[in-house]
Amino acid sequence: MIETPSGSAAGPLWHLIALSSYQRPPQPTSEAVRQRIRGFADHLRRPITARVFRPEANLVEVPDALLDQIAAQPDPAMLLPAVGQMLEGWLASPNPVAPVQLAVSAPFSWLPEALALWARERGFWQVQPPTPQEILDGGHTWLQQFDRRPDGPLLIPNLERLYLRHQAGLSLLQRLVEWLSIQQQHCLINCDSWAWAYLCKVIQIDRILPEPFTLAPCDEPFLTRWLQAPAAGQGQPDFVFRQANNGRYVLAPIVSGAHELSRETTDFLRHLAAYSRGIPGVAWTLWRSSLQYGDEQNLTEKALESAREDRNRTIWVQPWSELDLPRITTSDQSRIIILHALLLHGGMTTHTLAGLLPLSTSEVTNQLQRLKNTGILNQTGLHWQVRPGAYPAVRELLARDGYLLDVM
Amino acid sequence: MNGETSTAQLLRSIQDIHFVRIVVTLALAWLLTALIERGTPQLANRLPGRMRMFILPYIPVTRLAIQIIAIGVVLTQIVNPSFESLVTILGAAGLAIGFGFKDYVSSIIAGVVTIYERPYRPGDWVEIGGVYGEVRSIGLRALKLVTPDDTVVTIPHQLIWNESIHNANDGLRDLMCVADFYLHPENDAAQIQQTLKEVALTSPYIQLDRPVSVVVHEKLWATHFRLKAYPIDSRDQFLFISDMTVRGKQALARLGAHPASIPPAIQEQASPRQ
Repeated sequence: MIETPSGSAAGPLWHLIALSSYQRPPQPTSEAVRQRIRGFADHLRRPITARVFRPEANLVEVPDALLDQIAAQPDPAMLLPAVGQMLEGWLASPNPVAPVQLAVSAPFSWLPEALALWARERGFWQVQPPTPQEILDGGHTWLQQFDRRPDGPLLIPNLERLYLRHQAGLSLLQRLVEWLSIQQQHCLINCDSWAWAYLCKVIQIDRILPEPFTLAPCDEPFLTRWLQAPAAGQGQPDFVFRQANNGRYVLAPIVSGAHELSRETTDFLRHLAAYSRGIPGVAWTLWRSSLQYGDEQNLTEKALESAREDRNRTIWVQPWSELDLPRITTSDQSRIIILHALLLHGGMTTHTLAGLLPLSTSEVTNQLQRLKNTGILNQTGLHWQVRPGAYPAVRELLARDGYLLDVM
Repeated sequence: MNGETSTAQLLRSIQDIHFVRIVVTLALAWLLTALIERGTPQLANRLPGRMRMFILPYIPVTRLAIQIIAIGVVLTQIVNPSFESLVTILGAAGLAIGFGFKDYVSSIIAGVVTIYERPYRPGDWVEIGGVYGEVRSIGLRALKLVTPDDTVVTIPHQLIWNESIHNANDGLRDLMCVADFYLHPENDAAQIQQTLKEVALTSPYIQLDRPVSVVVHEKLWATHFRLKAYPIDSRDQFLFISDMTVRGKQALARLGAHPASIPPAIQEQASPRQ
């Protein structure tokens, strides 16, 4: 579990803000220039495709037990205090001014899971999404459950699962939104940011539903607090995080329960915050893949000298410029529209994807497999989704080619 | 005697002409022009659509500039720089143009005009003289269009003097695409309008920042629906039109919309018997 350093007096770590206030952490100018040059060079090179991205290739000999300690899988429950601060007052009010509360969450932000957890603890009725076929049939049977709904608050955890980008795939959601617009009981809705952007364009959903809130972006100060290994109180030594090429601190070491902010740190976290677009799941994935421990073959003399006193508790972090980040420069139209469709729907199965695109099932299958082999997609059973570490590269590709993007 | 003197005064003496410099200048100009003509479109096609449409229009301008500079350099090597020389050269040129190169020069002048007026530029989809296609390159005398059937058509610039140029995208990435549907007049036109609009909005190729509209015309034998929308990239226009047409037909079939039944008289007009 990744937690804030104990005794930190800096206040709550996670915040919810209005979606209109969301601003991506700024990218260092040098990195922006470097990426532009590299992107241009990639376009000139053959073949025009995605390089194989293997995040684990960055990792050198970090024992699993250690990795679970310093970069464990985050628990969405860490967002509960922020969710409570936003929604407890609303829930407690018997006749709220705004009965419907809407959250828009970026992929890999853990906000949907946190909202579901918070709602479950308070007895919300959670709506299960319809099947794709039910959506295409208009969802009449599925919608009838709302007439028989139990009293009490309602949660729709994934609004993006209630539509398909298909001529027949919008009517269910349109009817549900009309129903929501006249509700007086508490309704909590979460929608993926990509689906939100699409639905705003296509059915002007933002004119019917209230202004959404979202998770505040994870900037450099946030990452500094969040990524420090939770060693305090566990009887374990505090780890220090140094950059592998110069020995400088990536995270200021903890002294007496607080970050020793007077120590100069590298700009690694600033790069990480900008590249991950403030999305915690993306930042965590890349952070985890940048760590190395024990193998000092690739370390410089300067780095080793700097870590002379705390070498046995030093976690080395690869310099940002040397991280193996995915770059996709494909001009294959089929591949691009597949990636876009997956983001608009928060992932889907091969069969459903083929039904939405002007491609045969075999072509979709081949492309999905190629994208999986190059480390861009993840497959869980029949379900395909963009991998968190590849998300910024996929978004960059879609932005370059002029496809609809989310606001985050 | 006077004629020989005039010629000698017009041109530099042989020993003063740097032939090597002339050859090098021409070779360099040819090389640069070839690089730009072949390399720039290849480069542009690898780049994202926005950058492509930014780079392509500069090809003819750059080529013209290189050619003008090269001709200028060569002329200064050959011709004595004097007022009399200039008058003599222009007089000779005027004579040649009047007798044999009228159309050729007309096309060249039209080519220069197109660079400044930009009725078309590389990357544009235009219709000239009944031919529709993408402007692949703009030469000094003619442009090359590539039609949707992958046929390269060379069209002299001088057509701009008398013909109208239909430019579908005018330097922009997107251009309007139209999918036509002909349905029985007794169908619910409003419902079909809405359905077709949704067909466009759910296409993977659509540019959602541009409007979608369905224009309805009542014909004698059918209601003509024109679904108008914009793709993200003009190069996808045919994929986009096909996608809208295929899914439009599917949607209309689900709706139970009846297609138009064309009377025999109209069919006869459309395809008369031999």
